[in-house]
Amino acid sequence: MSCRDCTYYVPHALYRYIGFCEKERRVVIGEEYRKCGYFEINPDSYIKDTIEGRGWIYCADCYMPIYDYETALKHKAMGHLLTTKFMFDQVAAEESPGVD
Amino acid sequence: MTRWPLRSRREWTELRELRYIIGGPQGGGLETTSEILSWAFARSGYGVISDREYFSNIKGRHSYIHATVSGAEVPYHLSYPVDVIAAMDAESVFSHIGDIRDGGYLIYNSDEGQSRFNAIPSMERELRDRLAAFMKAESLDGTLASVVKYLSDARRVNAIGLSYRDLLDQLQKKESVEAAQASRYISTILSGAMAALSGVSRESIEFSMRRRFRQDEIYRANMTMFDIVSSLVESKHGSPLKLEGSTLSLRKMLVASGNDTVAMAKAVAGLRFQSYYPITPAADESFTLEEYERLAGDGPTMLVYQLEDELAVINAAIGAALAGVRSAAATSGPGFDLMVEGLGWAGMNEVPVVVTYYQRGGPSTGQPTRGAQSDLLSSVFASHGEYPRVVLASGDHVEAFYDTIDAFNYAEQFQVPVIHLVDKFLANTIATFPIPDLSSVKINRGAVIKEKVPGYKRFDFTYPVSPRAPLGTNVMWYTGDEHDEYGHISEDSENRVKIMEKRMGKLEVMEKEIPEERRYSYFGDERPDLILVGWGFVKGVATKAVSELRASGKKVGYLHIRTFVPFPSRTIGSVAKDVGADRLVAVEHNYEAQAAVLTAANTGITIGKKIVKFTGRPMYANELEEAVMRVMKGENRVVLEYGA
Ligand SMILES: [Zn+2]
Repeated sequence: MSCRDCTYYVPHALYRYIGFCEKERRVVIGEEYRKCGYFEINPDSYIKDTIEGRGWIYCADCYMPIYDYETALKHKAMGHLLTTKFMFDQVAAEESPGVD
Repeated sequence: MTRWPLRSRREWTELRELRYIIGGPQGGGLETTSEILSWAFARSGYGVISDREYFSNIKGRHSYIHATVSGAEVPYHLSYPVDVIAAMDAESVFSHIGDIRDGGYLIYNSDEGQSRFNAIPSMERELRDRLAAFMKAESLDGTLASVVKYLSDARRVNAIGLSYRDLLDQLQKKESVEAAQASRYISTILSGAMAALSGVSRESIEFSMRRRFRQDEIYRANMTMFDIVSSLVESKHGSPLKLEGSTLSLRKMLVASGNDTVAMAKAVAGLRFQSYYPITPAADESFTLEEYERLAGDGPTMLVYQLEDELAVINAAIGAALAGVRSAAATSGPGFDLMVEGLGWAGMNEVPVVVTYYQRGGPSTGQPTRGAQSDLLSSVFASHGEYPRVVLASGDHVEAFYDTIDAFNYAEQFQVPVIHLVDKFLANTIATFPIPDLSSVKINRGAVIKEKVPGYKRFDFTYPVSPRAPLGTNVMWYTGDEHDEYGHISEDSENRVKIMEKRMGKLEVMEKEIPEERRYSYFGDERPDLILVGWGFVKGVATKAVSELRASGKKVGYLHIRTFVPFPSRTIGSVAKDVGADRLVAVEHNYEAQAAVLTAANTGITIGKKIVKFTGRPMYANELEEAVMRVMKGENRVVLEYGA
């Protein structure tokens, strides 16, 4: 079990190995586990509830939204991180082209 | 044809020129790294050119910086192979396997050793297929680790694996890290490693970081990351890529993108109104101008106006010009297409308006973030009906600066629309260049009437250019319909002949007033065996190729076209006569060789030999030299296609 398995882990959209810990309010490394005392895993119903509730869930490893439960389970089985949250990022806004 | 991957060798015999690629996900901090390194090299007295290649994508796709640094000349060319590839992610290594020279340096994230090329979601299928074939041919298992091993073993590449995770961890132990700036620190890992390898001083980096990061904590954390990485890399590898001391005597120079250069020049030219609709690669110019927008207070004002579309943009710019101020619009192909009707109105009503036209890959949306020179014919001919215009094209930052000022001068001197062609390559390239000599800048506002003149004729037939009066000073009429000397609608045949001759007569005036030597420049042998004929961003790479070929004993030259209307017909005519038209080679970033089409139209001379590139990536010195050799051996058309 590492930080990226924790419900309080918010992945970075571009650099998949880092994320934000909502409890410690700081950058953490996804594959480490810090024995912080906050670690909590998402309930089994998380993926199903999210897809039913929001209509989508995002695979942070495949950079793609997923709209159905079966596909989401396949990604989960591959150890991918399914989420609806992203780290707040000021850099991309400064660097991305404003237009097309 | 250059095939992927490039296997050409480059020996690091003398440290006169450093070439590098920095790759990473779009929006991941790359641009800042490029700026910081460019400024730092410039601060140390070196010349830099740094091109940015990116997908039409907001965030996440592979983008990269390709740069040349030199202390022997102010570089204006890019070339392969490069000496260093600094990769923010595994995709950047996979995308540039073929671009690194034997014995070069690779900086990569050692945590990603097990990343596989075929598991990278942002990679295009075609590249994945090429990589699959490559992995198979070289018996690699497709992981980053296997590629690194291949580069080390087969290509003698010095692989510098750094654990980006650990570095970030180390940083967090020393500084409070702003989470929203996380990717900034990752990009600083690359600045640190690059600076260590190339021996850039800490002082230069400090200067650049200070300039880039206004917030003190962010500056400090980035400097700490820089120190951690640069001392680590330097202690293990030294500074093997330290350039020879610069012999450039540029005590003061500008480091700017093409967009920013044009913006600066517009301010110098006295621009008072700019309208735009955001479009790549033009918008950055307007964004820069917006920083200098002044709507009140003492001194001149400058209004930068974003409108709902390019139809409105050109009409707003025309309105401002009629009111008497220097006025421009900035756009690229799709926007220009929408402006064509408005431009015709400007032609009909003799409005001095400037359109800065940033070319990108077309047609349609095309390759919005890639470069091209394929809008030349459109800029010269786009119109229903006939009216005179001036078309200028800039080859580098210095030309772009002075051409911008000339564009306003010509617009007002001849009272015509002026189209100033630049391209994405120039727009998004950061280059060092001498500070323009402002004492040589002349502002010519043409014939203007400011006082009230009884019976004022806005379109007086006596001379093609009639003195213009700003709106509000005199009585005048403007309409899209054909009109008489006052501007009143007239369909009379006799009037039509007179006013057409007056308007079109400007072509002759321009022909007389814009000197031939303003229309082109020439580099190379006086009596060459071969002359490359090009324009725009081709200039840098063509002059480099010419100087390299001359150094190896070939007699070659480069004729650079700077104005298309009016056209340097006399020069091209006499060159073709002296050297032979069959020794001219068009070198252009489009399929047809559009400048060759215009050469034929203006002079009757057919340029039968062509070197063209239309992949959206710039031409590289190495591929152009090779193409010229092939033309010398008898090929008539070479299509260049190198570049990730
Ligand atoms: Zn997935």
